[in-house]
Amino acid sequence: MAYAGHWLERRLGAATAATALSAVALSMAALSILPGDAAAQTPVRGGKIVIARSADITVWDPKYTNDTLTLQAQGQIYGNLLQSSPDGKTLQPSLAESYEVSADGRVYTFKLRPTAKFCDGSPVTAEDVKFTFDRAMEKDSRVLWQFPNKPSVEALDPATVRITLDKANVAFARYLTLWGTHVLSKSYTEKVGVQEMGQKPLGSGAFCMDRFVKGQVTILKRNPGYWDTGKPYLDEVELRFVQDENAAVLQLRSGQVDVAMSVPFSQAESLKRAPGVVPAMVTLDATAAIVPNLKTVPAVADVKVRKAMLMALDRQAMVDALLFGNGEPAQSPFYGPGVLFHTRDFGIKHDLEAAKALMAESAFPKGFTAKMLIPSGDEMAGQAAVIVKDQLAKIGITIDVQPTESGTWFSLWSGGNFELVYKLGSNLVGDPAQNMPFDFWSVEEGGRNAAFSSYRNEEIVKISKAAEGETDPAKRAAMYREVQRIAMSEVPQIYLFHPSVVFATRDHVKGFAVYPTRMVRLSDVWRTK
Amino acid sequence: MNFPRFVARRMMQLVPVIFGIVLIVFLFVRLIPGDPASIMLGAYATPETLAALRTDLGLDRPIWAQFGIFLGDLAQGQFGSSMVYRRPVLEVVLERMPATMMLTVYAVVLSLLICVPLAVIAALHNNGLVDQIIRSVTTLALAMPTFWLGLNLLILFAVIMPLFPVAGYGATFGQRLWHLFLPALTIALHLAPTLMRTLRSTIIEVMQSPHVEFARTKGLPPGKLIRRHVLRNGLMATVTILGVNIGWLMGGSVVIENVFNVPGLGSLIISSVDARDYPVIQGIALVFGLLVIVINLATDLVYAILDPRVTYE
Repeated sequence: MAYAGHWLERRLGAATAATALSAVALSMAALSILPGDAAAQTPVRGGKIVIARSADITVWDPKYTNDTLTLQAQGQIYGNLLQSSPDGKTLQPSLAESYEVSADGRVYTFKLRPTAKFCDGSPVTAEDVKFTFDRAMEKDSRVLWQFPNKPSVEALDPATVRITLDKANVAFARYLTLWGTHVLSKSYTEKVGVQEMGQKPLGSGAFCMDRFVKGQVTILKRNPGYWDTGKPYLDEVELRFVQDENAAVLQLRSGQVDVAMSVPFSQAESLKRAPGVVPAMVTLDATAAIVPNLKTVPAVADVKVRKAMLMALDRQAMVDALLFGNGEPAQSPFYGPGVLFHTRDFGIKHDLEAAKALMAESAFPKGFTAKMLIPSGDEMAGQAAVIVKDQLAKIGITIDVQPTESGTWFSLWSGGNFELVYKLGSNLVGDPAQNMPFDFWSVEEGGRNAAFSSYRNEEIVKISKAAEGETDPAKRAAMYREVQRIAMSEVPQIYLFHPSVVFATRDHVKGFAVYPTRMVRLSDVWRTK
Repeated sequence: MNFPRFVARRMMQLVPVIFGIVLIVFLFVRLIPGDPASIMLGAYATPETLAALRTDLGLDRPIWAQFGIFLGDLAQGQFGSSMVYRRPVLEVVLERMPATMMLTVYAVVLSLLICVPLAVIAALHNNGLVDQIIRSVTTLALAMPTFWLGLNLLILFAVIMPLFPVAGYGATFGQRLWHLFLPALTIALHLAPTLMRTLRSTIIEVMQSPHVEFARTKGLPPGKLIRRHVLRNGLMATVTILGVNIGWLMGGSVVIENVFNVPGLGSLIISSVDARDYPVIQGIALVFGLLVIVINLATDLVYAILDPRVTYE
């Protein structure tokens, strides 16, 4: 099995053995993201690159952050206990050089790396980790969801941290790679205050924040005390705010920037022919889907109708038209091929005749009419809605597309005041456990009423709850396979596609990649000249 | 001297106006569906975390209590703290203000540079071919939506002929003049026709008045005649129109700043509405309101410079 060699699964299988990770394994993983022949080259130290990004950084305090581009930047200056591998499948050591898990899967003990230092030269201690966790779990935090199973943190000694969960959660360690647990310096935060820290952050990541000119640029400089000796390769990184993606591409073509973080799909083809420019694509761990409301639309409470809707949609054509082929139709309730245990085995193919037949067998053979909310201004949603409306009309379903301001869209959806809603969801930890509560559990169980749809399947709920604490990787794989099988036979949501992002670099930039979570790791990046 | 008293009285009149602005904005942002807490926490929020954040942000109190707290803070010069940027609202707003101010002033200067010569030429060729051309071309500019005009200028002068940057603001004053040229021109092109038409008709009117007739017969050269006797009188009405349009100018900058990616108040208000960052929305509305009022006051004062007969009582 593909995940058999997965570090986390293997070491949880052993359950108690402490695992020290070798630097060799680390550097090999880092090299594997280098495209093609570049992998054969040896990284060169030094130099600077300029990255064009379409949004500015709102604040450097991770506790109050929830926008992708801000946390993409935070990831460069802050260190975590663990980090995920470039493909998102495995965990790698970071500020913690090793950890062990108790036999019952509830107690995690982390050994901090003695060489880990903040940008001011002070060591990263267990007190800092405890401070970070306690602060991020305060009630005004925006990142509470990253702390499942009520972790409580103790600093056993300056280099040892113990985290105790109220219930075993195999995916827990993966949350430690997210921004909620970016380790803050306790003494610095207490000295300068939270507000100042949000503008002048102090981290222990590969880079240090040197200058932050709001609305314009952020300059990052190498952290001389970074624990991963030899990294980062670059001396300096400039994050330049270029709101318009087309403008960013122009600047990339002319060499004013070295990386364009997001490239409009329509430009990806022509960039392949641009001299000195290397475009690349990554399929995200994200799914665009239509959530039906079983309470307000009687027809979608019929599984045959939901299945017919999925079958009637030519989702490959959707990917071709909307994303210029950069993406793939969703064949699983899991958020993408980068998520553990994801399988396409239970996928449903486009078959208009079968869809018509299913509709005829259903309780609504004549079809029905439903309103579909989409967030206005979201180009992908708007285009997808047009195709959905057109293709569902062929099986007698009339869709009334209602573009709604994004805040209103979310409030109508989360309040259950909708008939159909378009949404884009994502997985940030690479483990399906992250999305199970949201997509399948009730509010009382800590979920969101199956994405606010009122859909309920006891079997899926039971299995996914058990899988959360299942320490045997083989058993866990079988459980999540079963979840996918049931979900694809039930079609609780009309899964559309996994979108992708296109980014592009100048050809002298090596080792740059966007992960399926949209994160980047600039410590791996270097330039040839 | 009545002047200081006039200013003081006008300032006093501002108090109810500002209170009105504050009240309307305060209520309206809360009428938009979607509350800040659920937008901040997103899809993963649980009812408990939502309730906790609402308490933290003070959103669980009755709306009149919230308004009372807001007014109390205002009276102490406190605008509250941004929910997104985690900094004092005043700081966030003032940081964005120079870009908007510069854009507005730049647009006014450009529109005067466009409208004054055109108005004079059109007036001198009253109903002639040149007049007709100037009037129809400027009407065309007025008829185009600003964002569309802006996008066209962008494509023409930044993409096809890369004379100006596509977006951004620049660091030095010179760079900013260069960066803000296209957005300022967009606004100016939209503003100039109205000003031009007013100026043209007042020039035609003034040209027929006895004092101009007298100046002409005494042999004053045409250039001097226009500058000294016609424009000075004609500009009064134009300044009034300009003053009235300042509010529109500020509002128009919201759209234009977004087209050209200018880090001003316009782009800030859009992102703040998206995030339901109530304190920032309130702060910007208040600043916009104050600016319009202050500029209108300044317009009244400019009359005195243009026309010494104007007195303030």
